[in-house]
Amino acid sequence: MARLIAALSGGVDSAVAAARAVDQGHDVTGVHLALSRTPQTHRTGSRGCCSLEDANDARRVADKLGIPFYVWDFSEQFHHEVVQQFLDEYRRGRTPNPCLRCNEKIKFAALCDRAVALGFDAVVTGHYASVTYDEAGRIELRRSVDAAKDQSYVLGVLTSEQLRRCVFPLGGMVKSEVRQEAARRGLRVADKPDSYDICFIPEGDTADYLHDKLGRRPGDIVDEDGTVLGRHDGVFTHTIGQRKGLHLGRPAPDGRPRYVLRLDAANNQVIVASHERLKITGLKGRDPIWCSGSPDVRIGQARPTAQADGQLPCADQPGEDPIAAQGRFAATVQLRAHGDALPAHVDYDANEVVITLDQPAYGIAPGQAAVIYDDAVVVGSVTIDQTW
Amino acid sequence: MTSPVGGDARERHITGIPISNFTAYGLRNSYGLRLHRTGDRPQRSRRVLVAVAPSRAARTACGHRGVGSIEDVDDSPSDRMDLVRHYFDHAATTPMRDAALTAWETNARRLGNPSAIHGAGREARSVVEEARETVADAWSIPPSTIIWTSGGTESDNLGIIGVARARRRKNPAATQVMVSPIEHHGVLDAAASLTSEGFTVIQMPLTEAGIVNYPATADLMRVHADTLAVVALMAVNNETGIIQPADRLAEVAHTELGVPFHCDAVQAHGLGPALSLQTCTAAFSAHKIGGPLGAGALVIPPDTPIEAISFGAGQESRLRSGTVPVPLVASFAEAVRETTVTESVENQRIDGLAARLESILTSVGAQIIGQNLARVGAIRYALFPGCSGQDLVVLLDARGIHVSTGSACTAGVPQPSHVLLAMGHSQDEANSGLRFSMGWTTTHDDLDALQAALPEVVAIARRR
Repeated sequence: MARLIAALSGGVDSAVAAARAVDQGHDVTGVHLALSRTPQTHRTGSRGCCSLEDANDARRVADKLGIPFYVWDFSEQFHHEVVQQFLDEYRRGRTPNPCLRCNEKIKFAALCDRAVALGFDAVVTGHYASVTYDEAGRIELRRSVDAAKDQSYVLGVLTSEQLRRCVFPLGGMVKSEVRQEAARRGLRVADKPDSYDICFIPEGDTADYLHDKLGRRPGDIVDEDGTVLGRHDGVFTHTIGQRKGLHLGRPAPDGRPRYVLRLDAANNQVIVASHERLKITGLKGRDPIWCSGSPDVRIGQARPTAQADGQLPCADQPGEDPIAAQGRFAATVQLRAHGDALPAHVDYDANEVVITLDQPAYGIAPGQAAVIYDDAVVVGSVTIDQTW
Repeated sequence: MTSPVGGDARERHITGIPISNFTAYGLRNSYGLRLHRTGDRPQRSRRVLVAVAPSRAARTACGHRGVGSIEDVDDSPSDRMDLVRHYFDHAATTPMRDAALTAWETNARRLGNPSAIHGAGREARSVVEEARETVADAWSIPPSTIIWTSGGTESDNLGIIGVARARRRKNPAATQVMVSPIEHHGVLDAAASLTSEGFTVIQMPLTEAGIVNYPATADLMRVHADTLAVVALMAVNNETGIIQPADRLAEVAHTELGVPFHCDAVQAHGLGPALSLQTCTAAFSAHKIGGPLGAGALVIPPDTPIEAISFGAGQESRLRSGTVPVPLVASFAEAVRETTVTESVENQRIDGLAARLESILTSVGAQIIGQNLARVGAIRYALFPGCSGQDLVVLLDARGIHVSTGSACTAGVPQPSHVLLAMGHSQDEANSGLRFSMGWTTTHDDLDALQAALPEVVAIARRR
């Protein structure tokens, strides 16, 4: 039996994850993360995971499971680590993923740290992914069996030390099974809709939110020659690869649509070009995170079958092999939360990762994460700084 | 597991009363054990009742008598933890007293709306008025000056908003509301809501020690006498237990200046004549003194300007609408009666517990707030340097000891105490605080448990 914190968002996934941990005989305590000092309610248009109603749903799940329940206030850390960073990145013309950042800095850092300090062994969440350990105690983060719900991409920013404190009981289930199980257990959240929006953005209107926080900074939309084609009211409301909503008035000479190629925050310009120009074949980033131990040691090797049932951390096992100082290996790379896994070659050293794609990709924005896979295993991740 | 029980485990409180009288389900959360009668009361609600001490000694004691039966755990999820509970959150709510419970039970199925003119209605009304007279006698005021409400918050709202509006209606210059910064949110937020109607809010000055500064506040009231619509100060602070100079300021407002004064007396009941109910409106809450949840009272001296703030049939002196909940007010009145009768002995007993509590707290390095000020024995607020109060709550909770950070909660998120901040403590200090509050069921057993658990818990919280 382990002492576990179940992070209860108020949704169906975390509810079933917690229930499964309780069934396994663990001593489970439910915690809802308060991420806003002034939580919204459904009345004020919240559709994320952090409204008062969600906190109440989480509490009711804990009641039903007969486990203690607390709301832990991480609003300050969330504001600094996630919201501020989100705005800073947009200000710099980059495209951040706040959910990934929240996993990295809040759920599996601040929450885990507090849990461990208070005598808990690990944190249970309802993420669709698995953590497994081989016979030598080496850790692997794996994709969910539900390809549509797989969240291994947003967990790819976690270190193996962080993952060793995680339990993901849902990695072997598909969403419909989770809902059925919730209904069977009598959890009222069984048919609660999924949340897709960014939790701190009211009504899910990112552009409006960014205008509200960053103001309006009108500037030119130009082509690569610098010819002014239109106006924008803030580079931050555009994303690389965007085609719609540019209002360019006149068509390109070749009559083909134009896409956002680059955001030049320093000059307050949005640069557009043809689709062909969005093509990239390489990218790089700094400070890689290797989730499943040294990257190339086990690439391509036979791996034990995943047991996606919320395996507990093997704290007394030897753990990961030391990370090689540098290396090169073949892998697949995922560049968006629900993007395809693209075949690629990866070169790395202690500071930097260079990824060479076997086939071109389109519309990849600095600020996004590149998550590297070996089949279903997450090898590691890096935040994209530069593409070519 | 069931075994025959009965008797007087909490001898100080229930000697001589058969255990079968303890049919309160409101009590369950306070204790680890539950009693139910054998046979006659099949519903679950009826058998969830306890008035038995949580200690092993008490369990044993119960086992030797024999009137009911005792259960450790069963179908309710919250009983899964077979934990003995030690409850230090009486200022949040305290278990119902025996007499209050009996009164509630007696009237729970009573026929008749007390506003109806037929026989059943008249009987119900008679219970309501009997209760009013019981309370009036206990507080030495005329029954007509008491109106029933739903609790402390509603009473505070009516005493602030209803008085301010009525006063300004008579005297258009009266557009200021003066409150202390350490009030309960039932007062603070009621005052703040008046700003949307053109009122302004003035804060009372505090002394360096963190108590309302009597001479400075009295002077400020004199300066603003012509424009004050209402002044509000609590009798006893609900977080620190510090007694505030409400009685003296009410005297100044009432006698010298003719300005309405409202006193949140929710934590002051049973504390003797801390307050003259002739000079101010005063808010009371039933469940803080061993009465039921959902009942309260506002005392309104005859010459007070006041008007309704919610509207309907005006059952309570046209100031408060809604059917008067007969079992609740009957029960509330019994709690008042019992509290008043046992007051002097009980206060002495609590003071003894408080002295021991302080020594337990200081032995682990905690700093007690207001140590040199007059406080009620039932409430102690302590800072644990280097710890988070929330962590301490979680760690103590896991050991069956229930305390609170003593602060207002939004969606269950404890905020740093506005009282501590107003008293000049830093955010970090305010976040390191815990409120320990004791009541009629608290015993040295509870303090034994606290004493045993606290050093380890503080050490864990400090390491973090």
